[in-house]
Amino acid sequence: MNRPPKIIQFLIPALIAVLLLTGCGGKKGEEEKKSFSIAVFVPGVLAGSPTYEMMDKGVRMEAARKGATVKTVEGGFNQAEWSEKVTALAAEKTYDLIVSSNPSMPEICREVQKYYPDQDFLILEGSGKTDDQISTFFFNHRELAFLLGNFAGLITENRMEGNEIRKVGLIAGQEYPDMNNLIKPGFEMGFKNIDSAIELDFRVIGNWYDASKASDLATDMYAKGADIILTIAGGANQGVVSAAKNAGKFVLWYDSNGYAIEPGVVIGSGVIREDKAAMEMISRAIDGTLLRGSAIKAGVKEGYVDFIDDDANYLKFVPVAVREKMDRIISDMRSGSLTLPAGTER
Amino acid sequence: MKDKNRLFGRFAGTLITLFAVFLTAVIFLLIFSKDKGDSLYYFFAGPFLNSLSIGNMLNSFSLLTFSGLAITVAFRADVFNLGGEGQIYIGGLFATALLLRYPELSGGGGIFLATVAAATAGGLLAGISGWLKARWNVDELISSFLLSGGMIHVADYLVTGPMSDRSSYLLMTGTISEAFHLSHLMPPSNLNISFFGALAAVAAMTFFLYYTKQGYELRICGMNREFAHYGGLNTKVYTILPMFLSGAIMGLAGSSAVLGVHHSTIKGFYSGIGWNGIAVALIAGTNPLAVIPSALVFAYLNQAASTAMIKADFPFELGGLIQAVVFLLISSKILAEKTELLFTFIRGKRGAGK
Repeated sequence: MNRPPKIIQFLIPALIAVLLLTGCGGKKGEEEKKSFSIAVFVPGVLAGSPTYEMMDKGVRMEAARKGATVKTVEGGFNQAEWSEKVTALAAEKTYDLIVSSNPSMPEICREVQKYYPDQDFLILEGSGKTDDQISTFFFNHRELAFLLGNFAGLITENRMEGNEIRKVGLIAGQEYPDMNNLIKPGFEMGFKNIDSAIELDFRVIGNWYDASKASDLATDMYAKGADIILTIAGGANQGVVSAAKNAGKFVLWYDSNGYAIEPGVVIGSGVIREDKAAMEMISRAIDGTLLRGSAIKAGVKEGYVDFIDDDANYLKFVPVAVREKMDRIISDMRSGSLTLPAGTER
Repeated sequence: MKDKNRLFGRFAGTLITLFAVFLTAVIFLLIFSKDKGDSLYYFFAGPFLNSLSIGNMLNSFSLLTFSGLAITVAFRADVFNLGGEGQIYIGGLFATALLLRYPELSGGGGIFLATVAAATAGGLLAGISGWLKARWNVDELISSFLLSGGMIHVADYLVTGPMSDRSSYLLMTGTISEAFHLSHLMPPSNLNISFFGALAAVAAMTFFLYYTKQGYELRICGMNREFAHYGGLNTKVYTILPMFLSGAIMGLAGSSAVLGVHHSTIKGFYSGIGWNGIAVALIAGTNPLAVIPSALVFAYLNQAASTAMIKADFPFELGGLIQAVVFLLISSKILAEKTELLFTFIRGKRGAGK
């Protein structure tokens, strides 16, 4: 029974020593600058997530142009830790703006703002709500999914050599509001626009990294007649690509140019211009014209989401007949004569 | 006298390990960080700079105290519980499910029932391994690990499937009513009254082990199971009981995280509590009271990496890397002790041969 006191005897001086040492460590980092200061919070890690890399790049480019400072913090994949990290960033009280990109960030940041009401947030990919104190920039996923749906419909029509099954696939990392309310309906609307007999095979992986499960799901979907699958599953997308390669079928990429990932297999790709949005929003924030709580929604017409139709692989692997039909739909949307609501208000 | 030497040796060994841990952290920092001065400063002083980091450190301390204590109890009876993560997850999930199902419960009553549910769920999960060991001599180290690994997938399915909150973009269940939130001690930090719960659990476990008959018998079984058996003790009970207790305390870690911090079960929230509990227990040895300083050191390390990351350019992966090194050093320290025993044994044999 004499153990605990012994340990405590050692520990208390040790703790005091640490405290004293750190206390005398001097105050470094006294800021002399008063330039606009931005923190980028990445809900995940940068490496391997093109959309977060685009956001970080966009913020940094604009900040460099206007002489603002940027600090990027990666939050890791454990969602349970994000809130604590964003709170810590806000507690610094040195950042004029905290930027992040993920539909789940607004709910986290609203909680943080309860304790730090003066902290400004800008969330790309987030949707605002009434009386919001957080600025959001939302991309029109319905329009993007609609474009990709049209393309999927054209591909499955084009591959109909006597087979009766007209099916396209959609694989999602998880079910979330934008998936259920915008992407899936938009995609469906797209291929029904080509032929109302086409069916949808929709599967959910349950996470954003399990490539082998994605591959299993995709293999099954291809076997059951799907010709092309739109994959929105983060790191798990790779599994869909390998399944398509084995089955001799096709993949649609969603939010960044994916043609080079597997030429001839990834034959269609959308893009979400996160970097462009980041640059413009940051520019407004630094100029002081970004209104608190402003919720911007932008789609194909505004040039923030699009179907990539000028990639060499697209021109090489997609039949002319398909491309010609696709061109008409794309130009209708770019010109603004065809628009879809981005509404996600809950 | 000999015992005192051993104690000192053990303590010195722990200090050397910890010193090596901090040294490794510093070396990594100097290699990977561009802003070395700032990183170093924030790594060592960061956790004490504001009430937010102190609060978060103490919260992480309470969770690690639970998981460290859970492992220690099993150690004391010479059984091993490797299933902490699953037990924490299941505990948290049961607490959440109960409170979502019965939102009309009164605040205190709901918290009490949820805590009991979490402890029972975690305890049963670990208890199965204990029972398998007692019944068929199934290695509890393997079975607890595998059972927990399996349950994690079941829980993942529930959290992202039937129980998921479809109005949220996070992978989580619905949120429990505000009445069931444990009061926070230093808002906006995560520190909440489960801090006292953790301390109480340590006190209760110390009392149980050292001042009750069952605790005494459990310790005897831990020291020498055969001796205990021939001494007339029911050793099977003392295989199942410590596993159950261990799992139950893990379950408490789960309910504390859910009721005190997240207010729902977020997919994978257990990560970093379960395995670090083993490291905490390895430093603490078999003494439940020693879990407190040991968990404090770990909580400090966690918070140090976290503040250094936010305030300086401390890379994200480095936090995980440092923890891995800690784990390695601590487990190899145990290895070193075992090697020493082996050498003594061989030397003894040789001496006898001559």
